[in-house]
Formats: sequence, structure tokens, C-alpha cells
Amino acid sequence: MQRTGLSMVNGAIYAGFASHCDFYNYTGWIVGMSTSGNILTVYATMGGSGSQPQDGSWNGGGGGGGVWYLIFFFLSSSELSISLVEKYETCSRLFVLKRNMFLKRLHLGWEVLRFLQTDRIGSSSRLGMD
Amino acid sequence: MKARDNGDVPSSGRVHLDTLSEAIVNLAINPTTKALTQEDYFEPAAYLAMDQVDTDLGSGGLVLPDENVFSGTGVNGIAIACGKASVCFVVNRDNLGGYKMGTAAGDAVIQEFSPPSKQPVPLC
Repeated sequence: MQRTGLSMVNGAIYAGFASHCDFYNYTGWIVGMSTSGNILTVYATMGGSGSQPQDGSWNGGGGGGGVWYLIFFFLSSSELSISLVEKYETCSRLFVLKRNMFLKRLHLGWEVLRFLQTDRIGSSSRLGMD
Repeated sequence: MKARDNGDVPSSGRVHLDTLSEAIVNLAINPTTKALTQEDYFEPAAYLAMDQVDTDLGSGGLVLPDENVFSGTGVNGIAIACGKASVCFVVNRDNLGGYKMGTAAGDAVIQEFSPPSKQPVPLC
């Protein structure tokens, strides 16, 4: 269950993952990585018997894309980024690319998870999700 | 059947919850370690019913309108999420609303509305 896009906050790239079509304990993960590919932090929740069947902790039901996005990101080139733009424009999703073509703010809508950008909220680095 | 790990009872968004499906969640980032901690969440009162029929809130994503334009008394910024149930939730970015914290165990949000056509939010 990967509806989340990527968010880059303070130099860390965050991606969310969940589960689907399984049984508890369900888990939801957010992994923060550096642009050089090192894992900086991992955040996880685990829902027990109180959660519903087929219910990933970060999002129940349905499907989406995102894991592959993380992989592609680290392979990023202008060409690849442009192809991603075209793909998601067809989905009427909003996102912004930095000049260097790295994905700065993804607003793909796969997940309610949404990170506030640090340049709008200062050094406190709080993120909102979606 | 319990709806969620913290029980099907009104819960503050400030209390940690593990079952974060159908939810808007605010996570804090430690600026040094980059680690995440749960700060706040909103989960619709209809969470259980929504989840059982796959009308996922998360399918629609979240919009964070510019707080220089979209603000109000006591509300510095809002967030809007729409899902497959064709219901949009407008919440206070700094107080998302928890679970069933509103009147009569309803949603403690600024506003709920459905798109005029009643059509589901397009998915892709």
C-alpha cells in the first residue's frame, strides 16, 4: 500500500508505506533517507486486533504507487523527471519540481500523508500529513 | 468489533494512535535526527463504515492552502482532504480534530462538504 508521494524536508526524503490484504498486526512505515541513499530514520506504527482486515495502518483498502518512485528518484535525471511529470499531470495531481529537477514537493495524493515544507514553517520542522 | 486500536470512543488527536488508516496525520520532524513523532491526527467519525466499503479518505490526498490567504479567527491555516466517499473535510492545521471529538460524537472539523455533483473524487 504505497499511496504516499515523497517529501523532502531538511535534506531528508520521506516515503510512506503500509500494508494491504493481510492480517494484523498491520504496520505503517515512514522511512527518511538522505539523498545519498542512507537511511536516516524509520517511523512505524503497528495496529493490532482493533484494526480492520485489509487495513494498512496508513491507509485502508485500494491501491497506489510509490515504492518504485523512491527508487526512481535516486536514479533521477532530467529526462526521467519529465516523464514523471507527464505521468502525473494526467492524474491532475499537483506537484512542484526544483530547478535541479529533483522532486521537491510531491503532492500526488496517494496518501493523505502530506508534509509541510520547512521553508513555510521555519526551523521547527513540523510536518503535516497527510 | 472495535473500530480502531484506541477503541470506538472519542479520542484526542494528541493521543498516539497506531491505526492511522482514513486519517490526516501531523508528524513532527526532529531537525537534527530527522526522526518522526506523532503530533496530531483527524480520523472521520465514519471511519469504520468508510473502511468497510473502501471509501478511503487517503485516495484523494491533502491540500494545504496558502495560510496567507486561507485563515480565520483562531485558525492560522487549514487543510482539506477529500476521499472516495465524496466528502471533503476542512480542518484546522494546528488542531486536526482527533476522532469523534465534535458535537454528538461527530467530526471536530471546520467544515464538511460534498462536491456539488456528488460524484466521487476522480482516482488514478
